[in-house]
Amino acid sequence: MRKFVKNLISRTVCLTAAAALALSGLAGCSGGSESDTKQQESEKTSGDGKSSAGGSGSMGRYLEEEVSLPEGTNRIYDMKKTEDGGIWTAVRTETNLSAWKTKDAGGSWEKVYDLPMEVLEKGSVLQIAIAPDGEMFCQTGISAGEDLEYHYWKLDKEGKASEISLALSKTLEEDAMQGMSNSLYEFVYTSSGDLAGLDYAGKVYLFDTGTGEVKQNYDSAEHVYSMACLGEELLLQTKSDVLTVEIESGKTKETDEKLKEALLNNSFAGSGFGGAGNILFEQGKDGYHFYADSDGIYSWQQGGNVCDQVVNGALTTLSDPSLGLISLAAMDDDSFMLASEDGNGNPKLLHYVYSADTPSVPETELKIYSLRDSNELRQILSKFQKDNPNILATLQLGMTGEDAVTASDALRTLATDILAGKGPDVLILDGMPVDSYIEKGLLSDISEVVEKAKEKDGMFEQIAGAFAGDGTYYAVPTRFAIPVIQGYTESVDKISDFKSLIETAAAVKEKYPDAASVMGTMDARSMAARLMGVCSPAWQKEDGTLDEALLQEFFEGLSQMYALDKDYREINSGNIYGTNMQGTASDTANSLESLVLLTKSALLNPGMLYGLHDYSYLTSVDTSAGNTSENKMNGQAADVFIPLSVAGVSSKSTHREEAVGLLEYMLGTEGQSVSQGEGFPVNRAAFDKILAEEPPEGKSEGITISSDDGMDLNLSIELPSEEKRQALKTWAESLKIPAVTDTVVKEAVLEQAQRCLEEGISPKDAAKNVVQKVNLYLSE
Amino acid sequence: MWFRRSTSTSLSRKRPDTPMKKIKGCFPVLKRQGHGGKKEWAGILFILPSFIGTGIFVLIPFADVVRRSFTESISGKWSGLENYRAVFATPAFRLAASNTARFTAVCIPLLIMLSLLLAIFLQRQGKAGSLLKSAFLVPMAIPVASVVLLWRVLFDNQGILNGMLQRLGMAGSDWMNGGTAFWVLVFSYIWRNLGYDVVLWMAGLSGISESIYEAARVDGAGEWKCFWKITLPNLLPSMFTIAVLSLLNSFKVFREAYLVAGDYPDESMYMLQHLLSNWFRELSMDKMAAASVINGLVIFVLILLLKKAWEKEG
Repeated sequence: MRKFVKNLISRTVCLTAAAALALSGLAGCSGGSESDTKQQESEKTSGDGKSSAGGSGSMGRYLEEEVSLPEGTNRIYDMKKTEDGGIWTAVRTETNLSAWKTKDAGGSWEKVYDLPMEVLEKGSVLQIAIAPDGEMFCQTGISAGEDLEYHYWKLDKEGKASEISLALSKTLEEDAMQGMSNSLYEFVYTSSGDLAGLDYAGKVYLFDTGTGEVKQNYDSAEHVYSMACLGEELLLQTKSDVLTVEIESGKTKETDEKLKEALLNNSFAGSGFGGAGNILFEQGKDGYHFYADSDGIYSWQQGGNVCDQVVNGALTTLSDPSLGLISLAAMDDDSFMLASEDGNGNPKLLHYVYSADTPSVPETELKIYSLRDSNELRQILSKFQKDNPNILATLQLGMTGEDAVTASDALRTLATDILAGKGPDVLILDGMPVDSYIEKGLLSDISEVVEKAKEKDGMFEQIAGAFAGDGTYYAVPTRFAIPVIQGYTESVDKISDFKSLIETAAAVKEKYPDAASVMGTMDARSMAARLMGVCSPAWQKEDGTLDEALLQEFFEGLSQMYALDKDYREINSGNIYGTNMQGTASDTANSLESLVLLTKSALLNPGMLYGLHDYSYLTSVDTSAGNTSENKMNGQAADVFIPLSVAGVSSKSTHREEAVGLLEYMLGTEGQSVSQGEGFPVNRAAFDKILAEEPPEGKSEGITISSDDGMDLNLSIELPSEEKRQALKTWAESLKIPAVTDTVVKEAVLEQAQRCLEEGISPKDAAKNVVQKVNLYLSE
Repeated sequence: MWFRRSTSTSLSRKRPDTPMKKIKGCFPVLKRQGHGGKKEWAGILFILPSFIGTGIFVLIPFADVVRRSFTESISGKWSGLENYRAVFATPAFRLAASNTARFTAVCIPLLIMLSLLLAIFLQRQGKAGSLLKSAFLVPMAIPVASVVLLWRVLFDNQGILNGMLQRLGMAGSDWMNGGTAFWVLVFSYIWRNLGYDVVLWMAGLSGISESIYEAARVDGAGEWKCFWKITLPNLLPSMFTIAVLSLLNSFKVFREAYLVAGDYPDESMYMLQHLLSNWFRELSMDKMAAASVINGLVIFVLILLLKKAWEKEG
């Protein structure tokens, strides 16, 4: 009997252990996808009891609509829900700066008053805060010598202004800003009608708006970067924490853990609570609070366990990375008003209204895959999403930059998803083996879409056809970059190919012995990245393998140019730049070398132009210097362009119609007009539209640089002249040959360039190593 | 499964006086015991979980790989032997296969010989030998990431090895970009697996009765003769196991090679695993499946040949 019991126990233990092992093994298989998690998150119930989003079949979500602002508004300073249930806003129009109110959520606006002249005479209006009763507090700044003189004003409901003197410390205590006059960095009305203000020294005060006296000081061990007012409390953001203080007593209390966690993990963490581009807060009813960021609008209750997503940002304009958030208002009818401005600085007033008969999550999910993140792509998807509320466009990124995932790792994960039938519908093929995917039949024929876009708006055909070998389009570059070189006009005129570039670089070094360097302090990878684009097409032989002799010539030329700045690089070893932490080498012909042309710190600026803004830096330097210019750059190959945002539709897509719809949008004028400096549009109508861009009214850009001898140079950045714009168009029209964009080839060349320039291996060995590696890749 | 059973048989043998060829008698005994009786079912139940696991995670997926080797990658259309033709026509496959074969041909005999010599040496050291044995296992305990870091520090063009050579007035070499890369890989494999094989050999050595040696010495046999006539014949079953395990372990060296040199290392250390990994990245499932079937067949035939040789010796 005893033996039987012993055996029974042993067997039970063994069976339990085996079952535990089996279950723990299977547990690993139960992880849901990211989209599942997001969906789960979006299924949570919002604070007001309404379901923000749901799974398949559940109904009800907030819909976004853009409502009108007072006519002619070009800037929103603040917006506030007032005690009477309406909305007050302070906006600038072409003629005035005024306070307006609406009682029907932007349906009609009534002007309350224009800001009095006595306020406007004291400089530019910098900030305005509106109180719940309609009172306003305004900050103006006027030049006083090298510094700004600040004035603060209280405006009552009728617009009667009285200047208030705030008891701030007069100068900043921060070492870096010592001597500068202090002022309020942010201010906001509290529910009791006082003004909470944060100064540039990172200190927070509570002011009496009537007298300007400090009623309370809120001490924090850390510098406070931003603040928000929630009922009887202030939220203070420091570098690594979110503090809560009671307004009345000034006591610090524990910040709601869930809120703190949500805010610290937020993509905007560290960027502040107020002002454009940050996280906005608003007090709701029944103890609920709200905050808005690019992910959506969230609600939480003090002491509650969760922050619920009320509005899914992915389904609205909130996901547009260029959108700057200004102010949020939670209305009595449970809708939200959001004041914001788009990437071009145009103000937008968005209204979010709950719709009970709209599916909580669109039934069709369109997956878009890209190796790298792109603001332009996000903006396009956001716009597409808005035009197609029944489609959920989800961007999947291969490399987020937050981990050590390489392009190769990401492509393997993509391959796994595709083979498992969970692949994307639309692929952004930058850095991917496009030819291999076409050969495998992964990409479907999109000729019809491209032809349609060509007929409608016209396209740069040579660029659009970069991957259309036999006339059939499987992948199409939606954008492109133009290789250019800038320098003294006499030098630029002599550069027609790679050989003449090397000769000219050596010649200018001799001609301008007082110049600090020829090409600045860019690192080896960056230098190679700037020049390989215009040389790479020449390396490819007809059978697809690389020409070792031409590669060797490239490395030799590169070495010669790199050697020209050897001394300068050694002296400025702390300022070498060009390659980021992820190993991505900058290849933009951007501001830095362009500006140093002014100071003769560098003499040549080769690289890629990704947009009109890049170009305006170059042309502004030309205008200022008078003896510099730029030209399309040729290397070992001529008329080369860099294909960008190469898009294709997966042949395995289960939503082909929607995927084609997105591609049409991406190639159409609207999608192509999105401009974030990530390439020129391949659509001619959109290219012309961007080229015709006028500077935004009332906004100017300037930069100050210090030369090596300590002199400051001010440069005003202006959009290019008509002549320069036409030159850009001529270059774009002349481009014929796509640069090699395959990651394996590019990485092999950059790696060997670095070894050749920095570690001293010979150009011959570098070329041999590249050829060996790439030919191995090609022979697979 | 048969191979694992034979492993435990040869290494955990408790009857040192029994000549090796008689140990094989355990198979008929097992068969006889299980025939038709309750114990046969008990035996089946014992192997069933393992068999189900192997079936689900190995046999069925491999059957799918075999199926895919006759179809196109994305469309799944039947392509006959086209994928096999494409694999053999791919220069990268020929290079990778020859490198892998070369690596195996160099490493396995070298590892087996070195580990055997070391095992015999340690066996004779008594307790000190046991301690040293553990020291030889340390490389196995070092995480691959650390090994890779060590490689980079050692074999980089500006690494420690070249630094030491330069101090000695000798010219350094770009160890990881040239023919030397292959030998760096060989060294890494031997260094990492030597301890493991030593332990296996020592288990085999401990199974040989001292009395056999004593009897031989009484009959006038010297050390060399004892080694040839007693030690080696008694270690033959262990050798089969060790050879197979070493062969399988040789495939794992890819981890180090990949982490050090990425997808495209120097030609001399470009192995089949590199190719298969790259094909997967490029979605060349068709060629990958065909190459896997070929690879699997080669390994299977190799192990069958080893088994046959072992049985002959037995």
